[in-house]
Amino acid sequence: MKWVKFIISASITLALFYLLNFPVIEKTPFAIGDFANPYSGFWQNGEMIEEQLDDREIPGLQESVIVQWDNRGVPHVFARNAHDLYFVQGYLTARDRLWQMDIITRAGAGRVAEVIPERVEFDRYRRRTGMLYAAEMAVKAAMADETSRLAMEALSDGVNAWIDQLTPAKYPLEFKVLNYAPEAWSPLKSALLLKYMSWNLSARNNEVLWSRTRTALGDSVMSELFFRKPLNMKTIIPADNAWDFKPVEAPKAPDSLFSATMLAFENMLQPAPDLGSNNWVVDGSKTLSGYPILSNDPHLGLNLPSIWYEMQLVSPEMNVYGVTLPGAPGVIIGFNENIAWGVTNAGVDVMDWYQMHFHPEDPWKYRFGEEWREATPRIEEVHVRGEATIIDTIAMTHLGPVAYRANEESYTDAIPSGMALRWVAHDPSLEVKAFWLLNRAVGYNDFVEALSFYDCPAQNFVFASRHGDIAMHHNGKIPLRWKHQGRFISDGSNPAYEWQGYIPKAHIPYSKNPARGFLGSANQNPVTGNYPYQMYGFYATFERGARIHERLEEMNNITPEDMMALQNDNLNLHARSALPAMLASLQDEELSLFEYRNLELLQGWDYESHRDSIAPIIFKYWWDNFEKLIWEDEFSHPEFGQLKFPRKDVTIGLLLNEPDSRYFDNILTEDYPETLADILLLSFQRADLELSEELGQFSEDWRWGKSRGTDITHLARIPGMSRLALNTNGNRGIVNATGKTQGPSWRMVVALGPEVKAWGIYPGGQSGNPGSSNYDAFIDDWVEGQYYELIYLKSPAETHPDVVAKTILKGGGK
Amino acid sequence: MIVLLLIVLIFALQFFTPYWWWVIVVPLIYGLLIARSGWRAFGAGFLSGGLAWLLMSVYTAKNGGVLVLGRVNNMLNLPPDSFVMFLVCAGLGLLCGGFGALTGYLLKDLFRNSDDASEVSLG
Repeated sequence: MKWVKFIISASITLALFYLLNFPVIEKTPFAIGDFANPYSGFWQNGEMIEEQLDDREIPGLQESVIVQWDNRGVPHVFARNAHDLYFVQGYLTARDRLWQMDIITRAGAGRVAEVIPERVEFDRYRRRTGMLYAAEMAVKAAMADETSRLAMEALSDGVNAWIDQLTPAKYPLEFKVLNYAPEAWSPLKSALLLKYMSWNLSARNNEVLWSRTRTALGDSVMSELFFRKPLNMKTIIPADNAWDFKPVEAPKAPDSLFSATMLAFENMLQPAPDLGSNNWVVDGSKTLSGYPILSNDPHLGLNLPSIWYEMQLVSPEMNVYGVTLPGAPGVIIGFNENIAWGVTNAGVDVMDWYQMHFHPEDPWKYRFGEEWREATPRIEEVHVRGEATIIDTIAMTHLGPVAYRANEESYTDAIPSGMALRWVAHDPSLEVKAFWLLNRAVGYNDFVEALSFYDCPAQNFVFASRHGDIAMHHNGKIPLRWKHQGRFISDGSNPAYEWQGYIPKAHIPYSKNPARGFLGSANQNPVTGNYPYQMYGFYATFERGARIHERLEEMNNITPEDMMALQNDNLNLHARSALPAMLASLQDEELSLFEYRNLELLQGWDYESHRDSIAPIIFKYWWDNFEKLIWEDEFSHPEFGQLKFPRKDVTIGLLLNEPDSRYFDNILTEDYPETLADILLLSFQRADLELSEELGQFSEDWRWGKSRGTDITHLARIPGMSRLALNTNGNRGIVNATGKTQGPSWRMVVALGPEVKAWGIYPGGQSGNPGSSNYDAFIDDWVEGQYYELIYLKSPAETHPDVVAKTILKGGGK
Repeated sequence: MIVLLLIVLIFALQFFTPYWWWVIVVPLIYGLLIARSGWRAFGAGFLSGGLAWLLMSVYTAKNGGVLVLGRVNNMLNLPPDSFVMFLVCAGLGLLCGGFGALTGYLLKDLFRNSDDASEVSLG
């Protein structure tokens, strides 16, 4: 009897232990006991762990460091030497953003499956595209450079000092949800972070699209629709810029252009269409103060925790303020007392795809010119949580890794099988040093020196100094090309297709102190045809660049508030260019009552993509249907399926300048040649149908802010940790390029002068903890287009009403 | 008195280590070494386990934990202001404490003379 009782009780206890100690719920990574435990589980991730950081001794710190905290949670770090500065940057960033740092570097390295086993194919894809390899190359270069090494190692030590004092109860919430522990940081992880950004900003494969389109439609259609002069383009570098250098000779083109064996690809690696970074600068002749004002709003996919972390970093040799990438040393976009700088993506093509010709009997030999070359095997071990490790062997050629062999199925149909991937980010480079120098720059020459170390991802660097200089550099490591080289899939066996060198840094497109007094970039074409090198890429159409240009040209006595207004400018230049011509062709009597209502809304529209306006959504549906009706017939291919349509400005050009173009006819209907007017009417009618199908009866729900909406999602998409359906202004192709999932990731305006002043905001909060009110504290103000004045302290003793706390970090010996 | 002692013990061990299962182990040891009857063991374990977990969850929620509770509720498809997690926390504490202590006591009971055990029995 005793035994029976004991066994029953013990079984219940054991069952409880089992159910609570292991992740027993399907698709739930955590164990209930760990997660619900009020002493170490999620309960501990409230604002208690956010509380004021106590003064403390930190082993590894050399001297005392003073941190002043402002009321938005921005740390202002005052260190006595560079080592301590980057050490504390690492320490504080880890305090606020440790999980984000971990998961992004896992995504970069292809190590997500160690946490989330379902992501194993994603990891293999990352390894096979050479992401880990690229980071290893970068670390090797950085360790050989004194400053990069100092910054990366000090930051790494600081992150690890934070991790070392963490108890499991203090792990960030996501570690508890996903049931894993933080691991030590290293310079490799900082490199992975930068490679992750490089991939996002420069991994493009237009050549797949263009090869396919060329095979399907022929060279004449390519020239007519794809390689035409971009419409209404205001290039980044003023069109009248004189190129006062002797260009390096371009490599010799092959006799005829290679045609790749085409497979059906569905997707492209390409920028999300809603993206649209801007930066611009005006010199003293255009401003009220007589000193330059610099503005930058880099746009990225919007996530929580935010991609940016605001900091002020001060040492005896510098005092820099701006946004940092959590896990990378230094400030990425910001200002010091002398200069300010900002970036937009350059979009220039720095990634080429080569169709490889492997030996029929030996898969490790590939043809190159007259010889067979040897590919080097690179072994990648992909660890998977709870499962066996996968070992992949990648063929590394001198043209880059072969991501997928011809007989292997690619992870994504955007990556062609059987091709080698040549990418600038695979080469060693010293971006960390570039930011080190930028943070300390005093004048224009320092800026140029800093950029000489910056290779990838190529960016449009805008610059201003208190001495009055302004500049824009389309900067990066850009291959020298013959005409059309790398536009299509290249022949990996023909040496003519190999990169033969790079455009010298002194020859990259730039402009300094132009007579017109302003410079701006919005991801558009950097130069006109008079630039002596072949350069192309994934450039934005005219709208944002032209709008910024027209506003800056007409504005004078500019104040910082004017620049904030321009960052929030909602004028839709696409609609302003195309809509009058579209409306002119519609006849009232052809329209139903509902369609007539839509027509009136469009006729009364001021082209502002304002959240309360209904016209933007009607225009969007009309335009999308219009485009589809023009191109769908010609651009459907029996073998390749749907081809990518020509750019928007090509369609606008046809509408405005070639109303009799043959493309308006639907080639699938034989009886009747459709005209532009037919297509406009039909698409207008379809738009109304689709609108009521997708948004329901005409109502408040059609308002732009509601029907488009903006989502800021949690990085791991953990439910409940995102901010969804935000009521925002703006749209793609608009200076305020706010889309459904993309938008301005940091808005900054810097007024230079004897006393630098700056304003900024990003859609998130300083804390990465979803249980903190600082997690999403800035989002509501960001939606409203507001800014915070950035507190730029001169000394640790300076007082400011918004500086609310102070921490002293003391060295704990070596 | 014993309940208070158990709560303090659970609190201390859970505070200084990350292991949730002290809420089983502490009552189990109490049952094994101290408890004089199965009912008493179960009752004391039940109360101390439940209270140790409930009080701490209320304390953290009171001290800046409302936001994180709301997020977790959201994640679990509960309304943000739901009290379910407090009940879950208390319930787990009660069950673990109660059955832990009882198992401890019954284990001890196995090795005692049946005479000594006459005064105790459960069920």
